[in-house]
Formats: sequence, C-alpha cells, structure tokens
Amino acid sequence: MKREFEAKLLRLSVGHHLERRNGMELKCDQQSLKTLREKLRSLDEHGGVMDTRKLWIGEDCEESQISRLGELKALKLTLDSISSSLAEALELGKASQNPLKWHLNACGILRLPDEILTRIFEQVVTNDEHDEVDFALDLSQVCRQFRSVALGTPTLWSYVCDARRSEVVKMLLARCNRPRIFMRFDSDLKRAQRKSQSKSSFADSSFVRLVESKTGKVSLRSVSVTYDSLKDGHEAVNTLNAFYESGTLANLEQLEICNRALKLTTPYAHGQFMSDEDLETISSWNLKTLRTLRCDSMYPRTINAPFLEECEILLCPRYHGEWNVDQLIHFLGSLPSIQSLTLEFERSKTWNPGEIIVEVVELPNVKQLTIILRQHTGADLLSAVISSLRFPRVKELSIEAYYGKWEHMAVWFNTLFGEEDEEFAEPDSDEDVDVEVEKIGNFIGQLESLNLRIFDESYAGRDVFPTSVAFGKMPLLRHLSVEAPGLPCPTNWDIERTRLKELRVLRLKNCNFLEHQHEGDPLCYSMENLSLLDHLERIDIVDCLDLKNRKTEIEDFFPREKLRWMTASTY
Amino acid sequence: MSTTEDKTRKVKLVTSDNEEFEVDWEVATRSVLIKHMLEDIGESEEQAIPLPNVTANVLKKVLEWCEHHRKDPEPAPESSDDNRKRTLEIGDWDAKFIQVDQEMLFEIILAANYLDIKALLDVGCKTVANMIKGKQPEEIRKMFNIVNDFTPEEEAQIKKENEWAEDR
Repeated sequence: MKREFEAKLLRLSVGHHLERRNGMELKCDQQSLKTLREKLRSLDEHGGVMDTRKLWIGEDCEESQISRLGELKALKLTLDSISSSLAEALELGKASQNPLKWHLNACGILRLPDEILTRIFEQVVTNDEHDEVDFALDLSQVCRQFRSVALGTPTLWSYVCDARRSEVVKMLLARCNRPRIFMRFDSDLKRAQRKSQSKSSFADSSFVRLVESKTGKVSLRSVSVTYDSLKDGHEAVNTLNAFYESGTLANLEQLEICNRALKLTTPYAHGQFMSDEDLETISSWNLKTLRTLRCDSMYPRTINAPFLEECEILLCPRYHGEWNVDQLIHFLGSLPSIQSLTLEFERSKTWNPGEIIVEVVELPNVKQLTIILRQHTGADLLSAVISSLRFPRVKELSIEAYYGKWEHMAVWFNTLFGEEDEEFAEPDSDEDVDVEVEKIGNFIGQLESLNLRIFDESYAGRDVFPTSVAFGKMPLLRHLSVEAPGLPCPTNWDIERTRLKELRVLRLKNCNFLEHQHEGDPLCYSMENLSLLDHLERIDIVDCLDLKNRKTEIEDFFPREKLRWMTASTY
Repeated sequence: MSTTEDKTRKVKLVTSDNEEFEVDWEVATRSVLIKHMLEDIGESEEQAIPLPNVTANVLKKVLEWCEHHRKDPEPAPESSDDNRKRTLEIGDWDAKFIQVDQEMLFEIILAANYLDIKALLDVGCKTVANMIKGKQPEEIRKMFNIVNDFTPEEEAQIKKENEWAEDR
C-alpha cells in the first residue's frame, strides 16, 4: 500500500511539475524537487519503478538538455539515414526505368486480349493434324497466360488419336469438348504397344474403351486405318466390323482405309492386300452418316453410303499389276451422291487396265474433280478411267502432275483435254456454249475453274506445258490457277479467249501469257489481253520471281487494285 | 451499300492524343466500328469521330492499310469450319506493311480489333502465328521476352506432359 501511495504521489508531483512547464511558467522549485528526488531514491532502494520521466528532474537541467540534444542528434542521424536510403531508391528506380519500359513493350504479346491470342493459336495449330497436339503443347508451356488461353481453347486439343499414350488421350479428352477421334491400325503401332503397356491400342479396343470411359458411349466421327499386310487388313476389318455391330460407327463421318505397304512398294507390289471376304464385309455396312471416304485400290465393289460427299481414291494395281478398272467404275457407280472426287494414280510401270465390262457410269452430282498423276501413270489406264465416267455437272477441275516425262505429260493432257487441233470457236451466246460443250463430248468445255499444278523439276526450263490445254476449249472458264515451279509458261494458251474473273499464278518462271510480245517490245499488250483485263477482277501473283522483278512495269499496266502480290508460306 | 456521295465524303477522326485525321469515307469505313458510328451520327459531316483507344502513330499506320485496301470487297463472315482451312498466307503488300517492330505490331492488332477491321486483324494474327509456328516454348519466350512464371507444381505437370507426348 505504501509503495502504491508513494508512486501515486510521485506521478502527481511530476504531473504538476510538467503542467507548470507546459504552461510556460517553468520555475525551478528546489524544495519540492529535492523531496521528490528523495522519494525516488527510496523507491529505487526498495526495488521500485524506474521512471524515465525522472530525467526531467535531474540534478541539473543542463544535464537534461544535453541528454535531449543527444536524442535529437540520434534522431537526426536516423532521418539522414532514411533520407539517404530514399535517395538511393529513387536513383535505382530511375536506373531501372528504361529496361522496365523496354520489358513492358517487349512483352506486348501478353497485352493482347485472350480472344486474339486464341485466334493466333488456332492459326498456329491448323492444317497439320499430326502435329496439332505438339503445337498445342508447346503453346501451353510458354507462360501461365499462354497456358490458360491454350487450355481454354478446345479446338487445339480435339485431334484425339489412338497412336498416343493413354495419358495423352486422357489429357486431350479432358481439354476438348468435341473430339475428332482418329484411329490407326498398323504393325508399327502393335510393336510399340508390346514395348509400352500404357499405350492405347486400336487392335484390342482399349482406345475405344478409354474414350468411352471419359466421354460416355463413344461415337467415332473419323476412323483412319492403315495396315501392312493381308493379315493386318483382315484384323482391321474384323475390329471395325465389331465397332459397326456395337453402334460405335453410327455417326461416322470420315473413313480412311489404306494399305501403307502398297504405297511404299509400288510399282513392285504384288499380291492382294485385302481379301474379297473382307471387302464384302465393308460392303455390308450401312454408313448413313458418312461424308468422306478415302481408300486405295482395296475398295469393295459397292459401298452403302447414301450421303457421301467426298471420295478420294488412290489407284494402285490390285492383282499382280492389274488395275481392275471395271471394279473401280462399278464402285464409283454405287456413290451417286458424291460432289467431290479425287482420283490419284499411283506410280506404276504396269499399265494394264484390266477387262472393262461396265461401259459408262454417270456421276451426276460431282462438281469438283481432282486428278493426280504420278510418274509412269499409263495414258491407257487414265484414258480407260476417264472415258468410263461422265461428269455432267463438273465445274472445277484440278490436275496435279508430278515428275512425268514430257512424253507422258503430253499424253496425259491430250487424254484429258483432247488433241491440240481440237479447238472450238468462242461461243457468242449461251446456246452456242451448249453446242460447243456437246461437241467436246466430255467435261472440259463446261469447266468454270481450272487448277493446274505441274511439277517437273528434273526438266526445269524446258517448255513442257501441254499445248492441248488451250483455253479456247473452255469458254466458260472464270477461275484459273497455274502452279509450275521453275517452268516457263507457254505462249499459245489463248488465255485472251476466256473471260477469266480470277487468275492466280504460282512460282512460274515467266508468265508470257500475261503479256503479248510484239516486235520486240515486251510491254506491248495486245487488244485481246486488254479485253481479258476487262473481265479480270483479281490477279494473284505468288512467288513468281520474274514478275516480281518487273513489279513496277506490271503495276503501271494492270489496274493496281486487281493485283495481289503474295508469298506462299504454306503449300 | 455506299453511294457516290459517300465516296466523296470526308471523315474526321480524333485520336487519344488529340490528333485529327481527315480521310475519305471509303477509307474510314474499312473499320466496321467507324462505319457504324457514321451511320449513327448521320449526315453531320463536321462531327469528328473520337477514337480514345488509338494513338496517332498507330492510326496513321492503320489508315495506310485502309487506303491500300479501300477497294477490297467486304470480307465474308467467318464460319466455325473456317478454322480448319486457314492458311498462313499473307499478300506481298501486307507482308511488307506489317514488317514493323513488335510494339507496333501488337498496337496494330489491338487497333484492328478495336476498330473491327477483320482483314487487318487477320494479317496481324497470321504474322504473329508465323513467328510462333514451329518454335519451342523457350524460343517463343526469348522472341517475345516472356518470363517463365510457372509454379514448381505447374512445371512438374508440364514435364509429365512432355514425357507422355514424347513417347508416341
């Protein structure tokens, strides 16, 4: 109690003393200070509180002032130190300003909104299905923002292929909302499966089971089967048949069945690569949703796909070099709905078209026809196929000719376009057009679009363009595209006799048909060419060095808005 | 549908840094945004169109593109299937036009997006896609100075993905 009392008394006294001091009436009452000092000493002796405020009441005011000054000095030192640190930080900030600014600018791609990044990513991952997943993975591993955008873009992950490990399949199924499922069947894959148990498998249906476990009942949209031997082919058809019977193919839109070995070994392939029994099995399927079919010469005699739109056939000799055109024509006759047909003639030294029983089959809905010719394709084979088919509505024709000798090229094009002298006058009216088309007797006269791609690099520089491709035979032609790397264009194509709307030239050595050379003046264009220009709405010039070198001259002559100079980065 | 009167008409555009551009109606209306704004303000020729998201140096570049493509037909609306058929082909003039530093390239893309000029946006996106295509993540980071900001957990997941993907 005593201690409490003394402490209280001390607080009151000091408070009073301070009040007076704050009231600017600071007077030194020696007696009271002495009393207080004694009381404090007594408190200390009894282990009492040590109050810092006693500094105010030291023996000597000067002492107290010195102490305070010492404190102020220490405070100033602290403030100086803080000020110095701030100045240092400011300098550092200034120094880092430029690199930071550069960094912010350089990271500009991260300023793009997600929808634009998505658009860019979709363009990176396009037209190259086999590398799609790899591109998507690369994009998703750049930084967190890229990853977030990539994972939020299901189209990047929709190529789900059984040739991937099951973990990858699971990952893809988790990231895409509408998978395009591709399945392969080949001996390479089976060998790989033996090595790696975790790899999904088409052969034992584990891929389908895996997809089913992730997506519910699976409905394959696309099946791609490649096989190596008769045995593999049999196994593939059996597996597909099991899928068909279980309803897995009920919504199948794309089907590819190709013998890989056949393509690799031609023209030395011998033997049969799919049994008649297996082909009969394929014939028995009702593929109501099928839109696209790609196959090689292992096609069945008929196929039940009433809504098929696109058909690509790789033509290879079937039995010991025999092409069996009759079966091909019969097969195509079972596909009246197709609108787009591609016939790829695989290289082969054996030209025997086989016995032709079916005379002519009409494909009434085909609007686009693509013919791909490779080295050694026999003209008699080409002739046998083309003359057995009628295309009353074909408007677009694409021809790709690869590495044929000039003699072959000439025969090919004469077969397709008729002999050189088979020309017809330009019609004056629609009625005349019909007459002309009838005279030609096949589809050339009704073409509105022609796409020629001729690759003959071994004979680069020679005038190998077929003269039979005369545009006088194509009065309705409106779109023309010619690609022939390193080859000079012929001068006798009569392009001025067309009413072209669009012209695209790619990688030609020179384009004489764009000009008319008169009396040594390379820039003297004929009246016919001027008439051509009236109709042309667009001229695309892609990677044509000769023309690019004369860009200024050409732009002086051709209306600039009709010209489009292009660089083909993807072909 | 534009009339002959429209084609002779001038349009005033004001950028975010208060610079004014006077351009032909045909050039300005390559931008769907400006076209709609002009439709909204009607015949009032004096009224300038404010473009608060575009600076003068970027607008100058964009207008250069619009001037060159003033006669181009209207682009066809995009369908979802188009994605599959896209190529990275760019016209020669466009390829030269877009040869700018990265900062300007992204500014052009942002401006094309804001102004709704699909063809220019397409050119910009294709250019960036061409820069990215075929490159490894590290190369992409280096090219755009992107910091690898993955957490250790994310790095582990990525490593796993790569291991799966390598074994095809």
